[in-house]
Amino acid sequence: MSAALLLLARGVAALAIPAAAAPLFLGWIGQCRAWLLNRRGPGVLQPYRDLARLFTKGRTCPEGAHALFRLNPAVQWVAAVLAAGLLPAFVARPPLDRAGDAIALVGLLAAARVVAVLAALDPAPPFGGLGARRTLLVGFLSEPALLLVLMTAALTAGTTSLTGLVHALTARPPALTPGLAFAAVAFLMVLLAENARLPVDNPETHLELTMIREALVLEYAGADLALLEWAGAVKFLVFALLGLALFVPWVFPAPGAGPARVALALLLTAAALALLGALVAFVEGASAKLRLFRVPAFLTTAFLVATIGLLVRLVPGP
Amino acid sequence: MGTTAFVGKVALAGLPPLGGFLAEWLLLQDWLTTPRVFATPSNLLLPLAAALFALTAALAAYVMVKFYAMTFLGRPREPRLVHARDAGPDERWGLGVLAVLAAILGLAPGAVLAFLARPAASVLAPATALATGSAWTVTFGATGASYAPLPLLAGAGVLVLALAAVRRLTGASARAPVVRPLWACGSPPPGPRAQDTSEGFGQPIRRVFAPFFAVSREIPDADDPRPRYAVRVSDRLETLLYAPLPGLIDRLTRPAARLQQGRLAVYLGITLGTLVLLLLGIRWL
Repeated sequence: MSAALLLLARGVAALAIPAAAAPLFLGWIGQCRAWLLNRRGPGVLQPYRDLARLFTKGRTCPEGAHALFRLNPAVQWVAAVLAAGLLPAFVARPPLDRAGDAIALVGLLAAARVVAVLAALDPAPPFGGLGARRTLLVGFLSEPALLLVLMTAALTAGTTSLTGLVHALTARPPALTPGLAFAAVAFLMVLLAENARLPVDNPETHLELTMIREALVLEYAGADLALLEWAGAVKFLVFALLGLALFVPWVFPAPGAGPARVALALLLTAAALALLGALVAFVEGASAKLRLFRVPAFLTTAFLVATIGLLVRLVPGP
Repeated sequence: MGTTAFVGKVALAGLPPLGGFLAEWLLLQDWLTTPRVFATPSNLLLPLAAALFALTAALAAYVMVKFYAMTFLGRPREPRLVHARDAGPDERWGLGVLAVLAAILGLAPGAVLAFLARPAASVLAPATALATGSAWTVTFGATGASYAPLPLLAGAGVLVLALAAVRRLTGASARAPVVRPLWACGSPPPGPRAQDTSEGFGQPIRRVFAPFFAVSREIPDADDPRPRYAVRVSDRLETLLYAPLPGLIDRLTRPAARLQQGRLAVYLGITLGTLVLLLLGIRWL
């Protein structure tokens, strides 16, 4: 009985902690960007205030929209939180770990992207089609690069199960090999592309013709929009945690560790996320948004860098 | 009809939780975790093949979205489609059976794989790793990576219940969404022609894969009284490799047509000559 309760508690923790922490991650990145621009910034809790404000507003629905449009915010949120529940980031062995591995995580996020695109096309909007085309373009070019990075890690660890990856990669000495460095650069580029950050997409744009992800959420308001923004934040956190799992897995709690070790691991994870957020803020602040027709070149570069990383990793060293 | 098409689309696009994703998962498991990638130099192409496979799967998702969106979503794009009716019960039953089979294939992967295990083992090399598992899970080999769509759906169900409970508790469910005209960023209300057509939706693919296509465009001037837009796309590989083949075969077989004189004596003479040649050949060998 108590084992079942413990399992339930672990499951709830694995799902709830990333969902609650995701807006904080976004707020930290926004605060870093403000500091880089020599401004005071809105504070790291600003996304929570935005979500609270959106939840109090009423929802709207355009004429002619069907169930797909109405259900989309819930589907996005559920898919993002479920993907976060697969990662052994805050809980050493999440109960859903046997249900999905790294490939299933990528597939889950791809399925959520397809549903978001279809929901944007449902009420026949002019900018929804634009956002749909562009989102799918970024999606189909970034998947091979992401897969090559995952493959580099999986060939080292011998498995694609997320806990297995973390366990095997932790057992290796923490050294920055050239293969890993290339793979990390490729992963950073894919992270920026998939989560609609600069230089691929400006998340604060209000010019419709420059939108990629924003155009998918134009017709939503109130609690629907809050769920969509929250889902975007959770997806960003999922990618960040995946990056930590592949490149610095020793910050995660090891299975069977005592409470002191777990607390230390949580502190280390938070510190690693803060560093990653600062890096993302720096890269965003230092780049201008790419022309849309340059985005395939950007993603092909990510693919080539990932290929180099994989081949450097595969060629036996001295 | 839209629901069965949606199920088929999700399965074909290789998205979880249906069957296409299971196939993708198994292929990638084999390619990603095989130790034989170090065995021969040519096996180093395996990871690149896996990446190309991921590109193909993502393109399949794109094309399936295009198919479903252009057919079922939005407003009718041509005047005669305004009177389109949904399919009758016979068609719905037939395609519904296929949709249910696609769902079963995806949701009970272990059962399907157990069904296919014996025929597969009889044609593959003995040391080939096969996926195993209970009816609802599929595990791959000794690596321990597993995929079980039903627990994932159960987890999703728990989250949906949590959302619904929060909505009920905060009284938000009492406020249904307000229906209003399309926002479209304040532009004047667009007509049905402002939507994407199938050609328009495929424009990013034509642009990214431009070297593989021969595209001829007809774009009118700004002051053309009767503007006409036309695009013709053809596959370069098809024109270079496949199109010459019928002509080549034709040229090779044309001399044989000269033997077909239509006179019985000529045919009997040819048969006799072939028989004599064969007998001489066998004697000689």
